[in-house]
Amino acid sequence: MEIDFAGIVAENQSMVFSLALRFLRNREVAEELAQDVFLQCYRQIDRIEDAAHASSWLRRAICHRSIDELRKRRLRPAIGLDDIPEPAATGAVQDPMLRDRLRGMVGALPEKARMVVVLRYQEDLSPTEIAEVLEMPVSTVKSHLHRSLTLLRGRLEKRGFAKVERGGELPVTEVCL
Amino acid sequence: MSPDHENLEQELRASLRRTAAPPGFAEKVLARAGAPLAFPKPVAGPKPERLRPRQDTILPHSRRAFTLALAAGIAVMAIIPAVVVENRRREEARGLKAKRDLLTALAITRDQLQQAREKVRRTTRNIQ
Amino acid sequence: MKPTLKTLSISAMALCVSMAAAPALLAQDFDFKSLDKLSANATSSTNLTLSAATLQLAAGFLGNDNDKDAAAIKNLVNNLKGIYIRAYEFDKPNEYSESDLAPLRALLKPPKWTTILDVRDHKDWTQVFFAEAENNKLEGVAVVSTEPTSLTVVYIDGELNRSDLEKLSGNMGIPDLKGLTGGKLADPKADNKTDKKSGK
Repeated sequence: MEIDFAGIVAENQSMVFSLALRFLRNREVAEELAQDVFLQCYRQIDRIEDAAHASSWLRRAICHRSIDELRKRRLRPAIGLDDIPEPAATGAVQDPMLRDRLRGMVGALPEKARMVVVLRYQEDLSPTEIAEVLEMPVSTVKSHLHRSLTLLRGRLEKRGFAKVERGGELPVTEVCL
Repeated sequence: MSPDHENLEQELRASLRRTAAPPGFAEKVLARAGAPLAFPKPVAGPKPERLRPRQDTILPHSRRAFTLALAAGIAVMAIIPAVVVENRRREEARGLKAKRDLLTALAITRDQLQQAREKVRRTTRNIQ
Repeated sequence: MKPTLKTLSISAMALCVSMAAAPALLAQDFDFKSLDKLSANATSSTNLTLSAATLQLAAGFLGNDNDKDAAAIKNLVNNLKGIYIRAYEFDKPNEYSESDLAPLRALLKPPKWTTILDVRDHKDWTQVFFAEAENNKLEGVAVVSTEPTSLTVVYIDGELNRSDLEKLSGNMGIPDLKGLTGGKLADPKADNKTDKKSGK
């Protein structure tokens, strides 16, 4: 079956770029890495079985390459401030400051935990699926998730973010990281 | 007070929602890969107004023919720049890919020559 | 720890008069595609075949002539007929054999080719070959480098000056390989759950 590489790129570019961006917190590096991963895929195109296989391959590749890239470059993600403004979310934006801060805090997590959190909440993967992508035990994935959420919650508390729910209060005070 | 667990997860999903790839990302990838570009989609735009004679007058045949020819000529002129731009873009993509391949080839060659020198130095040192 | 095997031979630069400027025929005599099968077992591979037309196209995109490095690279590729690169990395030894390279090595012999450098250290073996032309120029350069888990073949076909080669061995403004390829090369086993990490 002939694989439509242009279609694969179109279908997966957002996923691949976003994973790299959320993890590396550097737009230029994320774009470069995302391009490289697609080129890797192209070189192996005869091994790709179908579109779903391509997506799965790309997801695994960008995760591992992002972790490698971070180790090589020792990127220090700027917390929340360097992001190019996100496209406006559909519907009411509950709390853009909170989301900026959350992105920053996720970016400050240890690398494996960070990738687990990104795969869980960006890609909506189950712990089992995450374990397959990152080649780690499911129990480790769950442990990373649990600890990360506890850590994030604690940090948000420290910075004075009030309880957030639909129609809830905006933060009263904001402590810069 | 802090976000409860469920809200935190919701906020994380919202915070980490996928963001669009930069403009031109796919084209850059395809250019670097040298892969065939997708067929360009037909440009959506206002349909050209169909030339019709007004009901209260009947255009002379020669004038009508001239008008149709003029419309056809304008349509061709509109397409040519787009084709030229597209061809130029493809040529640039090929050139950039060639440049990248060349630099990669030279980098590998340089590394091999440097490693060869280093091996000689190392082995010479060991002998001495 | 002293190595158990050390063999060093550095051949002297050839003083023999070169043949009347015949083009280096390696690309015609040796099918580089015969090495492509090695990528099947490789964890990463680079396969580049750049024709004269591609090289000229690339040179046009290198930057303006005021850039010294760009000018130096343009000068280097100006008279080249082709560049061939095959580079493979494997996750364990014995994924390729000397018989895969024997046809190539058989061609890299006098009178057309002179071994400029021949270094063995343990199981690593690197050879550099020149095809000499008149006027102290070269009409081809080949590098064959083997290690237990990697293999690299470089062949540059066409006229170049020795000074160009010296410059190339320096830097010439060529970006680091990692900057070009983003780190390690492609992993063909990315989809195999039992294999090593993908995308590395």
